[in-house]
Amino acid sequence: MVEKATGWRLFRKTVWGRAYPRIIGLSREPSWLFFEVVIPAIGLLAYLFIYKFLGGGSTDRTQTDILGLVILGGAAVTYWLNILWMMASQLYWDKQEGLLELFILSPTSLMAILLGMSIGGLVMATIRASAVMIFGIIVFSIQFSLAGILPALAAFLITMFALYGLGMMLSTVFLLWGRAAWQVSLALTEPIYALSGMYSPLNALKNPVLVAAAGIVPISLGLDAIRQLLLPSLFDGSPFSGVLNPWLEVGILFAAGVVFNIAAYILVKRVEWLAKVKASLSLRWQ
Amino acid sequence: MSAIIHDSPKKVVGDVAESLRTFKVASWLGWQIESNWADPFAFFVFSIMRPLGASLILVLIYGAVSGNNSQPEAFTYLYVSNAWFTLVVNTIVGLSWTIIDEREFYKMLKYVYTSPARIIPFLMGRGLAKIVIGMLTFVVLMGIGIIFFPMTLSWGAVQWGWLPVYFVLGMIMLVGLGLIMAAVSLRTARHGGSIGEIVAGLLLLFCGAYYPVDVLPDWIQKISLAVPVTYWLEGMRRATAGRVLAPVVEGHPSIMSQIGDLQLLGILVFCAVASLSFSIWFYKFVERTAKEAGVIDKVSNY
Repeated sequence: MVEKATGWRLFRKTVWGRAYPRIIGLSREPSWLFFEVVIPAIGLLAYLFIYKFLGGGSTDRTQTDILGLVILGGAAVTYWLNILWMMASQLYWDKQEGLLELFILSPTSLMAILLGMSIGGLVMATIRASAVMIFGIIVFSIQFSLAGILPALAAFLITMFALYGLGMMLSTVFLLWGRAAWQVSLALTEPIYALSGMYSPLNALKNPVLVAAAGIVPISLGLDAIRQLLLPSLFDGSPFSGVLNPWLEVGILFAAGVVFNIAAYILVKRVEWLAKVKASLSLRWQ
Repeated sequence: MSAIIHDSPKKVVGDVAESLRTFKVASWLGWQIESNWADPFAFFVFSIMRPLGASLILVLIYGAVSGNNSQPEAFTYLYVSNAWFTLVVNTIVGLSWTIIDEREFYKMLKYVYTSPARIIPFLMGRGLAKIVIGMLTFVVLMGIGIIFFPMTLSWGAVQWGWLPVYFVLGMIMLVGLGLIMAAVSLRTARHGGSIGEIVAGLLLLFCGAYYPVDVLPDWIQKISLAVPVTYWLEGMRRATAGRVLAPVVEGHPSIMSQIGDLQLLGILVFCAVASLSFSIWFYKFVERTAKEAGVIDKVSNY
């Protein structure tokens, strides 16, 4: 007699069950290492040469720091791509695969599935981002401030709390949106890179309204805070500076994370209602 | 033997007709998939957002570095190159993503393979919509650039004779690269983005899209000069601006400024022929191995 999991045990098992394929998938398909780490990390160099062409980074030290700025942006890109393609678009993808029907029919909660998706995605993206960082540190001799590592780690964790809250929220919004969601994911990729300062300092936006708009995507403020903490000599006002004090940015991110996670919970309940009561959401090609 | 000689021209004509039919149907299908999810205006806005975002990244980097020291020639180089690079991305991604889309999303790749449709014309047809979108995007980007940014361009300077020649040669070459990436996609899983996009990102480093190859270290410069897209972008920049952009780099004449128009034409003709021939052979080779391994319809699902 197999005991059925219920309550928190079911919740916990669902979270692990959904996270599992993403974590294990990495070891089953090693080609990601080449296509998603080595090639993009080399591609990041292009941005360094833009700075060089335009006359930025006149000394070796500044050039290495600018490369640090770009590599940190490249690592952040990994998380943003994970949010767009493996969080926001995932429920819609699951619907088209016919899996969403099974999720809805199963006795577990959709929130647990989303949480598992987030944890799996976070592990997946962290391994990729770490590989990009290690590649950058070893190959390009990037030096980060040792004193800034622990504070930057704290800023990173808060950023992820907000970012994956946004991801869970978007996954339900995109599901309600239908096929347009796929195109939205595609269309948002580069504009968000630009607004979030993935390859340029956030203060290059100059206009406070644009900076505030960029702040909606947690990675922009998080990246600005992490860059200030890890590359203090580059962000001391010459040539670049942060838009806000890094700890103020972390505070804003924490508040945003709470809002995004609550909004995700409300939206998930709405999705479950639409699927179970109205039967209008979970079927393929609807 | 006589039958083969007698039948061959008929067979060739039949093959060409069948390929054209596949291409036509796939182009229509590709256009529907790309565009029928929204009204034309929304579709157009969404289509230009990505390249516009890429241009904005460059504008921001330019603003962050240049400050008050305006460098219109360098900016024009960056901006024009980036606008043309949109076509590089769209063409390569258009072909390679089709494999992922048909295999993993619509799950139709196995049916395409079992139908009489010709796979290479099918891929080219499916990719055509993205190429057309890339061309429209180029026009919009250039319009925005000329109106809002400090560009050193004029209508009178455009080399209208060279422009279509370089363009056609480049398209042949890029379709070849797209086919190579499609072949790679046939044997690899669905990764976060498509392999086409990843490789297009890599090309940014090597093809001098954002800077003259002169600023690169020697070893990267050597690779850069071996990449066909480097020469195509130079051709398109020249035809658009009517001159070599950024002819002097760090006080020296740039490498590209020392290549004449006819020399550039010769290089592009060679690259176009080599790229298309190799890519067709490569695709067929990989396709055979994929069939033998039974992975034509293998999906990733994570």
